[in-house]
Amino acid sequence: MTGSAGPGRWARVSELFETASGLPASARPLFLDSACGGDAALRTEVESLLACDLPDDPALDIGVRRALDGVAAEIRAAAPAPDRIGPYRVLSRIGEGGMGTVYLAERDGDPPVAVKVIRGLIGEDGLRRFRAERQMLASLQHPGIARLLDGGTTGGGLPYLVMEHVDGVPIDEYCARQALGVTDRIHLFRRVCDAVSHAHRSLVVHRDIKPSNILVAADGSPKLLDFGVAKLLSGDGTDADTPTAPSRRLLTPDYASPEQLHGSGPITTSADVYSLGVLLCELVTGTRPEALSTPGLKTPSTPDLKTPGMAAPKTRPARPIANGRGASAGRVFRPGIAGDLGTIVRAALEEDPLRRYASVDHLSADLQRYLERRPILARPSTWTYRAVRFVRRNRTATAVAAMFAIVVVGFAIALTISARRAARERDAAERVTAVLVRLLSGPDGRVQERGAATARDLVDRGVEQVRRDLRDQPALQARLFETLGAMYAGLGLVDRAEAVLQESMQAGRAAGGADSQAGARTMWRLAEALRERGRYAEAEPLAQAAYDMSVRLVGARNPQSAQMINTLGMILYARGRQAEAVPMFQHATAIFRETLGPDHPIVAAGLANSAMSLRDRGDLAGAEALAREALTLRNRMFGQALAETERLLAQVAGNGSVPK
Amino acid sequence: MGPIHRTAKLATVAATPTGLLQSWRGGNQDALNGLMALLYDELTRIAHGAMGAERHDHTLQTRALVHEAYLRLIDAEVEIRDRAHFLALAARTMRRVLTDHARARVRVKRGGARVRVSVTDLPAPDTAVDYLDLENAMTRLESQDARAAQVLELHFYGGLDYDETAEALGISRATVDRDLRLGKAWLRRELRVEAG
Repeated sequence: MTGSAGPGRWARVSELFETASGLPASARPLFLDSACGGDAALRTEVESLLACDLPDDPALDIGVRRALDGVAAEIRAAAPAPDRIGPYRVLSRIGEGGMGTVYLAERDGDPPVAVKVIRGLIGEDGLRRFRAERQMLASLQHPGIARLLDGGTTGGGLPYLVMEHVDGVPIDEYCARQALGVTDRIHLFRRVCDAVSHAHRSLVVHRDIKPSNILVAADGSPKLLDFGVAKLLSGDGTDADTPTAPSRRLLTPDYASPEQLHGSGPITTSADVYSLGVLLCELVTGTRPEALSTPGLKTPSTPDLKTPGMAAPKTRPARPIANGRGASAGRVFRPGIAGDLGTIVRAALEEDPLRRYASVDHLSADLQRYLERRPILARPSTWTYRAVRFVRRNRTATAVAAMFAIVVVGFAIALTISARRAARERDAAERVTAVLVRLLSGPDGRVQERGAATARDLVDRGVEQVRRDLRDQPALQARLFETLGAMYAGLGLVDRAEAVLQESMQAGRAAGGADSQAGARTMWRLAEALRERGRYAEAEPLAQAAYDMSVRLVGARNPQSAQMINTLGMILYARGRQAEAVPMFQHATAIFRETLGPDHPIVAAGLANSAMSLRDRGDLAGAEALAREALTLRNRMFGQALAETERLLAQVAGNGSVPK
Repeated sequence: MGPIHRTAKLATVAATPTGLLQSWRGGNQDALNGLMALLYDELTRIAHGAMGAERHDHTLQTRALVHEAYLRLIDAEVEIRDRAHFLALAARTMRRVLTDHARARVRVKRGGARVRVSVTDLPAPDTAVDYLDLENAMTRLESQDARAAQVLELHFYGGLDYDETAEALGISRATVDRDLRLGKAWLRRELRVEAG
């Protein structure tokens, strides 16, 4: 308690510091003048402390935390490594993972493997669960996923996993080291998506996607580690009901989804979509989502995506120190990336899992569209696209907005009834659709984010109403179902889209094919929905039938038919039948050009598709010719927006030689 | 209940960490020593990773270790006040574990001369703080203002929140706040931590 300076003197320092720190800076000198009198040493002491009084500055806390955690990690590293783990001979310790220590080990001269010894209070039930899960994880086979080879329990009773040893660096580090541009980053990210998607199809959720779990090998191929391992140790087994369970379930909070952090809902594949969203944001902007949304932080509204500040150190703003309760409540990400890429990131980071991309494939497909600059082909009908974009922007509609939408659909139905008296039902339906769309995409349609109704509810109710009130109007029903199906697809609710589109086809048949052009469109939309899900085998015959029907009704030289054959081409392309796809793209492009005029964006997109497929077949000269054509066209359309066009070109040429 | 029976029961209870905690809180200083020894071993074991659940995180957070020690050692319902005291003790012990390791490392690796990695030595403005610099600064602050040093200790090493700190030290939240502010200003000055 006694020090060299004397307790009495320090008490004085402390008192003056407290009073002065409560004063505005301008008032402090005067206060200290009178308070310290002629005691210059006292004044210096107080002033030096005041100069360091930065209550909002996190540097000290971060520095101290790192120093402490650093020593703790050294203690961990100094712990003796075992000689053997089960039948494996330990070669070296290669890391401290969140869940345990990883060793490089070998067995009977086989290639070395990574053995992860897991620390965890998992108990008897936990071990049983662990064994069951292990079996399932071992069945995951994908080049992008580090294989789980074996597992067991150490002599000390700790479970361990034996995994394929991956020699690589974390994905964020890899991107920084290689100074990858945004396009390459997105390509790499999409490969990660492929791997995650594969696991999701096997019903395995990663649950802990973060850069350190994604290693990129020297050849540039990414590999995910620890797939599903988080679940092995999660609290939904024996420990879940203990009062301290929540603190045990803390995941890497930087990447965990809100439902994981707050326990607000079941952990589904959507949690991975969220974590991928955080990763994507970091990879393409070099900044974490919340950094972009911090009000005080200056962010350019349109970061230059060609040359992002990747070399700059990653910004990781200090988090408030988590004390185990409610530390992260109310986290809302609103990344400030402009344009479609921003939209993609935001859609992956939606707080509500139901509003996120419905699957990793959807996220990946949107990125592909972004890269290929062909949103119009993905959402071919402009009005639907606009409506869907509107719905997307305003995923949380107020109850008022929901009412509004119901009124709109109701209005559509009312119109229909009067239209029954009119000579041509189809005109009415046209008008109905137009009204619906105009109202939905009105400029001041932005709604406040309150209330529980969502865009999905809104469309759900529309479907119900159409189903109920238009039972005796199958032709119109078919049309409206088609519209609503497109909206579902736009929301990423492909299952629902599919169901409603099927209904639309049934209604169309019940109407006796009177409006089979709508039937063709419905089939085509269904094919698109299936294609987005990667269900190419089912999509192909539908796209083919839609195209055939459309050709019969409106002829081949029609933009609608061209869109359909373009879709068919994309399906075949995805199925590896590039040779068949190329003429389809070329055909579609020619018709777009002929019917929509040479300067339509869809033409450039068609050219890009063709160029891509030529590139993939090794016809670089052909690809370049088409890419140049697309470039010329883009230049004409967008003036000399060279950045855009060069990117398109580099992207389709795919070999980095960008002609000037 | 006869006296012999009661004595036997007390002895059993006191042997567990929870019993030691309660015994210490009841005024038994021997129990405090026993508890600290237990904590020291337990924190080291947890840090070694030989056992114990850990957060799915790539850094070993000392506050997580402290809370882990609580979860592992205290197996019964204890009063909030006792919990706070336990956490405070664990924070102090954590500091001792870390300091012992840091000092041993210096002795082993550098033969007594330690490498200073302080803020001013670094090329880029960073927030690097050398552990032993921190330890020395904490010790100096202790001689100056023991309570402020203790508040910092609970805050940094144990991750105690304001309420827990106030409870453990028997002071008001406002005092915790004031001490923390002064103590941090003092540390910034001593460690020359630049604004980040």
